[in-house]
Amino acid sequence: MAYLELIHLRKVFGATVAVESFDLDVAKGEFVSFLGPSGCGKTTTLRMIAGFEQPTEGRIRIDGEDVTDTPPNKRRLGMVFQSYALFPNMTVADNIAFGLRMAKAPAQLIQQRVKEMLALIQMEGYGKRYSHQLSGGQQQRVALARALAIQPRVLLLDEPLSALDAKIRDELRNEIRRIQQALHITTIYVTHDQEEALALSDRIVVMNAGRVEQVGTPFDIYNRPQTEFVARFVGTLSTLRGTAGADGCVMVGGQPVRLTQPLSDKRPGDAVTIALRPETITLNGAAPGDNRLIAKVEGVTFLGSIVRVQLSVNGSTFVADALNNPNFTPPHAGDTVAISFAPEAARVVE
Amino acid sequence: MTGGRSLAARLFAWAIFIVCAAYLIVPLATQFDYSLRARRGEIGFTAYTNVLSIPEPDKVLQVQASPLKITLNLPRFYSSLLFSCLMAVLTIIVSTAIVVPTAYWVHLRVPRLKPVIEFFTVLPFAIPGIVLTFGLLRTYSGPPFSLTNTELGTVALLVGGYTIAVLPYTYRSVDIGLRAIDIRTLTEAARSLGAGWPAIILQVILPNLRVAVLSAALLTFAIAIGEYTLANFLFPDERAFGSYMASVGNNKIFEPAALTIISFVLVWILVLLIQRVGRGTGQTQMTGMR
Repeated sequence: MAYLELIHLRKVFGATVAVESFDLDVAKGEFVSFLGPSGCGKTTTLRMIAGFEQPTEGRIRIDGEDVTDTPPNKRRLGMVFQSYALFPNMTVADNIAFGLRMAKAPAQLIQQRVKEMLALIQMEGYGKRYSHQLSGGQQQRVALARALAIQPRVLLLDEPLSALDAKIRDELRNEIRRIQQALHITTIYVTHDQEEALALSDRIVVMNAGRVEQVGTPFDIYNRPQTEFVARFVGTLSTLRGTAGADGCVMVGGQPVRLTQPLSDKRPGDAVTIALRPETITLNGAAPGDNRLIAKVEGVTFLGSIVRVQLSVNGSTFVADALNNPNFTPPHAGDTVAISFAPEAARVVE
Repeated sequence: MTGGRSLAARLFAWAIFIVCAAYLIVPLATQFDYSLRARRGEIGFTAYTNVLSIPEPDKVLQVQASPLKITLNLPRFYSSLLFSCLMAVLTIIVSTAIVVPTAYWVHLRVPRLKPVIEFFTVLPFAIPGIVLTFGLLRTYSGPPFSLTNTELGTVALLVGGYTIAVLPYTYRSVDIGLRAIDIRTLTEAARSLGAGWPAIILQVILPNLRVAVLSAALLTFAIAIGEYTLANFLFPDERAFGSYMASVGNNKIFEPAALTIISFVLVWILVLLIQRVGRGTGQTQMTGMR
């Protein structure tokens, strides 16, 4: 049974539709990320769950209870903000204790919980410091502990790592996942960073222009994107434009490309876009059964562990990634190369 | 070339500083010098002693600060100062209780109303004190309010008038304080942790506006202590410090100068005190916000 239910959520600001027909069931203990570009409605959806925005239409249920009209301070949800939002006038311990004090918890319980939370975020000994005496990463850990101290029904995180530098971001990302799994807490995580979403989530909701594009596991979202937007937004994408052939193939510049996916709704001659991940394309070497195309090299970029080759076939430009090794000889711009890829690596996108 | 220009700029800056400092310090210095010459051919503190410690029988006044039911017999300097201090403190409490929640709500919920609120808050600058005084008296001294019929009502009217008079300063101080913190996120963080509005204002917003509120309090205090028009009309017995200063100015020769210096020292002590409290433990520093 779903623990958090979002039913036909819709949010309109004036003439702008921020979120349209958003349906989602989240299981207890599940980690779900809302992934999308700025303005796609992911934060608005999170804020509706938190109670900071009232849905124009739709309902929100937590553990069977309809909380759509419940004020935020009565929902028992923990929220972590991008800007940390620690109370500057309070110490770390007071920040963590704040929610418990609001709930009028006994002093002994508050003291014990603060101690537990400081241990959980590995910041014992920092209880008497103020937020301005902490680094960004430490502040965000305290914000996480503060949100968890009240034992929320759902933990909401609004781009919590965006303000941190890369190294701290990676560390804290692992920390968030560790704590979430240890506490088995239902979590909604908003991010525009696909790597974060892929690394952390049990499921990802990819959003675009207020709508859900695809909901799936990180593996599904990356390997089986259902729309061109998802394919392009999550990971690097190579697209080839062609036309549907008579025998279920796609013709790209007069060269046939076989797919495992049926072209059921396409008639011969209809335009078809196929998507490939750059790492699934092989240069000058093919396994039996692979598709082969002749392509022109437009440029080569050395990225350390990989060599990214810009290619074009019949006006479609795309990239192929080759793993770097000392025996690899990169092609040069203007060369003609044979590329190959497995039929199952290519997917038709809308 | 650049070095020459920067030397000229520095000299110009120093010249401006010296002129401004002289403009402020010279009158004080001359007042101080004058206040020391109460006895012919002598330099001494006679004028100060007259002001601070000699209660002429007819100048002894009862302080009847009704809200607190205090009755004291003191020399007029102290009684008027005490009365005005009490009015200033009440004004600070009332204006903080009105301005902080209002400014907070405008910032949080109706930011488009900021220009309207700012317009209203600067009105006391445009309205002469005497007009404000007569406006308040005409409105509130007669039925149905009849505030001036009782001591408490008159005090309430005085504090209300002071609250309006200091609005440009208090609102601006609080407004600047609110701009320095991310009140929306702090509010949402507090709400997500179960806090209601009173807890948010008292435990989250107000402590983070401490410096702004103290600045507003200082300005309120300085204005309320020296205010003359409203105090004189509401308390014609010269009970307020402003009225007392005016009376001394009209009737004495050296004492007004001594009183000026004493007032100046009092305000400076107050400024230092507030600065010290405002600095506190440094816990309201806003690093990491926004």
